[in-house]
Amino acid sequence: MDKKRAIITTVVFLLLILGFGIFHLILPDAEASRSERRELAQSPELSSDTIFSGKFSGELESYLLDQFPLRDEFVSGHKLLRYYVLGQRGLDNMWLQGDSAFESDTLKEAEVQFAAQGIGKIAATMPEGVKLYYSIIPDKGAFAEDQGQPKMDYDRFFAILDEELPENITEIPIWDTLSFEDYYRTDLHWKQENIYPTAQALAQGMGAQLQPFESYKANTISPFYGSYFSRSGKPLKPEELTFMTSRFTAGCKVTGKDFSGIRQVYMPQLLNGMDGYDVFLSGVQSLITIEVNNAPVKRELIIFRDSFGSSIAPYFLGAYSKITLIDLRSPVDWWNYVQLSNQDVLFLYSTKILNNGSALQFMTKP
Amino acid sequence: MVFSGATFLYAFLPLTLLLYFVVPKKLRNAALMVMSFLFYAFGEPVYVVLLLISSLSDWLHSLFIESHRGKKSAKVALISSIMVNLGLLGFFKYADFLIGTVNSIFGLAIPLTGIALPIGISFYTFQTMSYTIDVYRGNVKAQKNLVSLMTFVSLFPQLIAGPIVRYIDVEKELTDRKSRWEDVGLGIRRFVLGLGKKVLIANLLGEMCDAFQKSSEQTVLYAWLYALGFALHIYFDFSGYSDMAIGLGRMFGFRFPENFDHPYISKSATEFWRRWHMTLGGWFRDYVYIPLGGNRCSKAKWLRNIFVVWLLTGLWHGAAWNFVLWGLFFGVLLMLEKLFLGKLLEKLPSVISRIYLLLVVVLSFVLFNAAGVKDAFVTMGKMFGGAELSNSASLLALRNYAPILLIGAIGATPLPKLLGEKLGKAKIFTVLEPVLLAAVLILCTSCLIDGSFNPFIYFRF
Repeated sequence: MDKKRAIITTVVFLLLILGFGIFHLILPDAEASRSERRELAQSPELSSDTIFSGKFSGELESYLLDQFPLRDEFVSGHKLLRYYVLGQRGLDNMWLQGDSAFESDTLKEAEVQFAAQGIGKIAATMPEGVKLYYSIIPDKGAFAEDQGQPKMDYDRFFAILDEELPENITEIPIWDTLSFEDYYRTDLHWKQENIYPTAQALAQGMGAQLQPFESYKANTISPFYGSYFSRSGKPLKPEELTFMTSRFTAGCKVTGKDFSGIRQVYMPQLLNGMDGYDVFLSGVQSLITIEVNNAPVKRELIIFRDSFGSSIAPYFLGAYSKITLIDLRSPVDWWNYVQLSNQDVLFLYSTKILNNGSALQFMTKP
Repeated sequence: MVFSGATFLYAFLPLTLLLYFVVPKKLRNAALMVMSFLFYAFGEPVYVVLLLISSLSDWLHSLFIESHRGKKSAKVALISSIMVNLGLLGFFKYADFLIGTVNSIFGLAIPLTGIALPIGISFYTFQTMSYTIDVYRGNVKAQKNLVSLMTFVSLFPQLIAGPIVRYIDVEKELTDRKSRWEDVGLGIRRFVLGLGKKVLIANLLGEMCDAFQKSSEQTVLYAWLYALGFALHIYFDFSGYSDMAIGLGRMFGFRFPENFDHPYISKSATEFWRRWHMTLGGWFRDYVYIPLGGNRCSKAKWLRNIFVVWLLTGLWHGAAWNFVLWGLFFGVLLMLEKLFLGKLLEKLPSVISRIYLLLVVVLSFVLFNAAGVKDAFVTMGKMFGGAELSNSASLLALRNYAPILLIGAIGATPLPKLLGEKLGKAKIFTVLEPVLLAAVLILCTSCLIDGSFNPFIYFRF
C-alpha cells in the first residue's frame, strides 16, 4: 500500500470510529425506540459490583448499540442487505406480501386444545339465560399468497375446536368478511375502519343491530409502528392508525380493573407508547367495562377476548348498553365483576392466540 | 471485549490509538500494556490476576535461566516455569473434565469445581511457555524489562484468540518499532477485512448452524447445509479474528505471524494442517513433536509422536471427549497419509483429493461442534440418510443461506485475494479502497446494531 492510500485509509477509518464515538457522547440518549417498540438500554451503572460481576461490560455493549447515532438507519441498512442482497425471506418467521408483513405459524394442537378446553370450562359455569357465542379471527397469514411459508392446518384447527368446545356455544363465522388488506401492513391486528362488516356479522349472529356505518367519523393519527415493523426483514414505512368515533363512543364511561377513574374509548395519546394499538381501549387490560349513556337498548355483552377485541368492541356500542371485555392472559377475577343472568357472551379470539393457548393461563376459576 | 463489538470499535480502539500515538515513544509499550490489561479486565476482571501470575512467573524464571545458563538449576527453572503455566491451564481448563471422567469411570460423585474458563488462557499460556523455552534454548535473550515482557504477554490484539505469537516473533519490535503510515493503512485494511469476514459471513453462517441445532426438522439436506455451513463458519470466524489481530498488530507496528493460508484448497489432511491455525501447528511442532524425536526415530516412535501431538491438539481445543476424538481423528489420518495414503492422494486427480479433504474436514467439524460424541454421530447419521431427505424448513434454509454459502465457498479460496491484488494496483483504488473499507465497516456496524448473533468460537479455548 502506497503512502497516499495509507493516509486516506487511516483518515477515513479514524473519522468513522472517532466520529461515531464522539457523536455517541454528544447526542442525547433516547429512552425508547417506537419503531422497535422497546425500551432502549441506558448508560450502565459503574461500580465495583457491576465491574467485577461482568455486568458492566455487557450492559455497556447493549447501551452503545442501542444508543448508536443513526441507529434506525443502520437497522434499515442491515435489513436491506438481508432482504435485497442475500434474498433472505421468512427470518424470525416473518414474511412479506408487498410491503405488508405477516407471520406464518404452524399448528400447535396441544395449545389449541388447552385453549378450547378452557373456554369449555368457563362456558360450563354460565347460568342458563346466558347466550354463548364464539368466533375465530383469522391471522393475517391465512390470507397471504403462497411464498413457501409454513402453513397452518386450519382444517385441523377447527376440528379441534369442534371436538373440544361444548355444543351450547354457537359459532359465528367471520372469515368471509375479511381479507389481507383489512390488516395493518406493519402489525398483526386488523384495521378498525375495515372491520365494520365483521362487526356486523358478529352482531347479526347475536341478534343485535349496529349503528349504521355512516354514523361513524374516521379519525386518523400517525405514525403507527406495528409489532412487525422492526421484525419484518425489510425496511417498512410507518402507517396511519384510524379510529372510528360516534355519539356512542363519545358518550360512554370506560372503567377498568387495572386503572382507577374513567377513561375514553380511544386514547390517542397512547399512540406514542410502546404499542400504538393501545389507542383502542387502553390496550392490554385484564377487565374493562364500557357503559353507554342514553343507550337505545338495554342489553349487555361480555367479550372474552384478545387485543383484536379492543378495536371491534366500539362498534357494538349502541347495540349494547354495557360491554365488558375480559382478557384471560392477565390475572383477572372476572366473576367478581359481572352478575351473570341473560347477557350475550362472546369468546372472540384470534387463531394466533388460540395456537398459543397457554397464554390464556388465567381461565380457571379457583 | 470482542473486536466485533461496539465497545471495541467505537470506544476502546479510538482511545487506544489516540493514547498510543500521543504518548512519547518510550511510553508506548506501557500505554499498550495498560490498555491490554483494561481490554482483558473488561470481560474478566478477576482473571487478570492469572495473566499477571503467568507473566511474572515467566519473567522471573527466564531471568533465572539466563543467569544460570548451562547449569542444572536452569533446567529446574524451566520445568518449574512450565509447571506453573500447565498448572494454571490444567486447573482452570481441565479440572472438571478430569473429575467428570473419574466420576463416570469409577461411579464416584466428586463435586465439580464449576470454575469458569478464563478467556484466552490456552493462548497466553502457550505464548509464555514458548518464551521461557526459547530463553532456555538460547534462541532469545531474557527480557529484563518487565513492562516489555508484560506488553508481549498481554498485547490485546493477540491475547485471547491468537495467533499464537512467540516472543521471538516480536522481540525486536518490542523495543524498536516504527510507526509508518503504510503499516497503519495496511493494518486497517486487514482489520476491516477480518471484521467483514467475521460479521458479514461467519455470523450469518453461524446463525444458520444455530437454527439447525435448535430445529426439530433436521433432514438430510439440512444436515449437509449445517455441516458445510459450520466448516465455513468456523473458518471465517477464526481466520477473520486472526486477520483483525494481525491488522491491529500492524497498526501498532507489530508483524504477527500468519495463521491461515486458504486451508480448504488443500489436497490432504497434512496440507490442511499446514494451512489451518498455523501458529498452533507450529507450536506443537517446535515444542512437542520435535523434542519427542519428530520423524527422526523408529517408525513406532514416530507414530507415537504423531499420536501425542494430536491428542494434545484435541485437548487444547476443549476439555471434552469430542475434542479428544477430533484430534485423534486427524492424528490417525495424518499417520495414514504418512504411511501410504499421502502417496495415493498425490497420484489421484486433484479434484478427488480435494473432495477427500473437504469431506474429512467437514465431518471432523461436525464432531468438533457437537454437544457430545453421541450428538456428533446422530448428525452424521442424518447426513448419510438417517432422516427425511428434505422438507419446507430445510428448503427455506437453503434458499436463505445459499448465497452466503456460495460467497463463503468462493471467499475461502485465494480468488478474492488475487482479484484484490490485481485491482488494487489501479490508481483509482487509491481513493476507492478507503471508501470500500469504510463501506464494509458501516455494513458491519449495521449488522451489529440490528443483530444478536455475534459469538467468537475460539473464545472458549
